[in-house]
Amino acid sequence: MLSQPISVSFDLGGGRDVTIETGKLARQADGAVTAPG
Amino acid sequence: MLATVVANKEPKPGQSFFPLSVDYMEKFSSAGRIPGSFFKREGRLNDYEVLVSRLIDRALRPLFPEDYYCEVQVIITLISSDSEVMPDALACLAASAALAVSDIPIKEIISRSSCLGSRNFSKSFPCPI
Repeated sequence: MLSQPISVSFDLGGGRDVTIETGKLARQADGAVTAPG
Repeated sequence: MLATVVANKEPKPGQSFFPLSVDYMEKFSSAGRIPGSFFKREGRLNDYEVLVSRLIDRALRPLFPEDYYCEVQVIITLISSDSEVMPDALACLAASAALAVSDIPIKEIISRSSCLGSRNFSKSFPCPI
């Protein structure tokens, strides 16, 4: 299980960023990510 | 958007197909509303949710090994919606990212984009009309 959240952001173009974060929510699942968009 | 994946460690005895289930669901609370009137619970998936679930399922199913028969469940929940962004492409990306950080064997990681185009105009990830 991850000890701390890992977050990755990238630019979609047009001033829109997408962020994907893991290790914070649903840690008992095999894999869980949040994508705030 | 929250995407979670869970898989059995061992396949069920006699399993002859790959039991992958993908569920995309939009919560009423994502739009700042709660279900009221006659239907007070968020029940079965509506047509849009079913279609998005199928889109993600069709894209992910061929990426698993042919001899992998463990039950895999992928659940994507829209927690907060944006009126200017269609969530279907982001749902596929989130599901793929969840599989990538897990131990579930998957050959490739995918992404998806929606494109809107005409003769003089094109745009990716269009806002809902």
